[in-house]
Amino acid sequence: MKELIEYMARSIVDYPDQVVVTEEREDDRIVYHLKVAESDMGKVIGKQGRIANAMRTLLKVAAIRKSDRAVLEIG
Amino acid sequence: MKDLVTHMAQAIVDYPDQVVVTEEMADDHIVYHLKVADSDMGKVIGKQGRIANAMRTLLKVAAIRKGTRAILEIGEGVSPRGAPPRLLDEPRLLDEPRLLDEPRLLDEPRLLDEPRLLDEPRLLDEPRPLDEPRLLDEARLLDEPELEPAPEPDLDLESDLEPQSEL
Repeated sequence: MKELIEYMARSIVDYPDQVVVTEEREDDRIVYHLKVAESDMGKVIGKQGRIANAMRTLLKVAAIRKSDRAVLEIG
Repeated sequence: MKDLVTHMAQAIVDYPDQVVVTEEMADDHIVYHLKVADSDMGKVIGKQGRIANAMRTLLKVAAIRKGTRAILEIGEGVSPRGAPPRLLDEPRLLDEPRLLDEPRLLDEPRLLDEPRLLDEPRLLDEPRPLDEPRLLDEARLLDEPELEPAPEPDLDLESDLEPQSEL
């Protein structure tokens, strides 16, 4: 799932090499922290958080498939 | 972008090895056809198309970044030319309602509006002058005189009262 986030983020930012995803196990869920170049922050969040929510939607489904729960935090 | 679609799809399906993405240039945009196992169709579409729309949102942004436009189509249509005809089959069901157009013939009866000329006979109302017999009302006056005699019986009642006092 980490690769999924990395792939999605790198596809939409101007500086793919600055995309960093870290994961952290928290009780019954995994928290993914996505960090991108400051100028790319708007791109990964999007208007009204649409891009961020799109990534979260896909991440959620990917997690469910693995009988897990995942949360995506940006910043 | 083809890899992006592939990655997203493979992350959410049960059979990643059956994910096939083909791209096709169309005028000013690229059309991506995503094919997955039949049992995975629901997964890549999602409730109310939420998953499909999430993928489209990300694909759209990725395309804009490359100065192009992209469309994601989900279905069996590996060969793009094969899919469209199938879609045309569905609209055929819409043709059936056209049978309802026949009732429009019922509009012709509107010619029956001409009978409105028959309304002219309303001139027959002229007989209303027959109301002149209102003179019959005068006859009622004749009834009133009968009421006048009534007071006389009242006098009789008074006489009745006197007998009672005697008792």
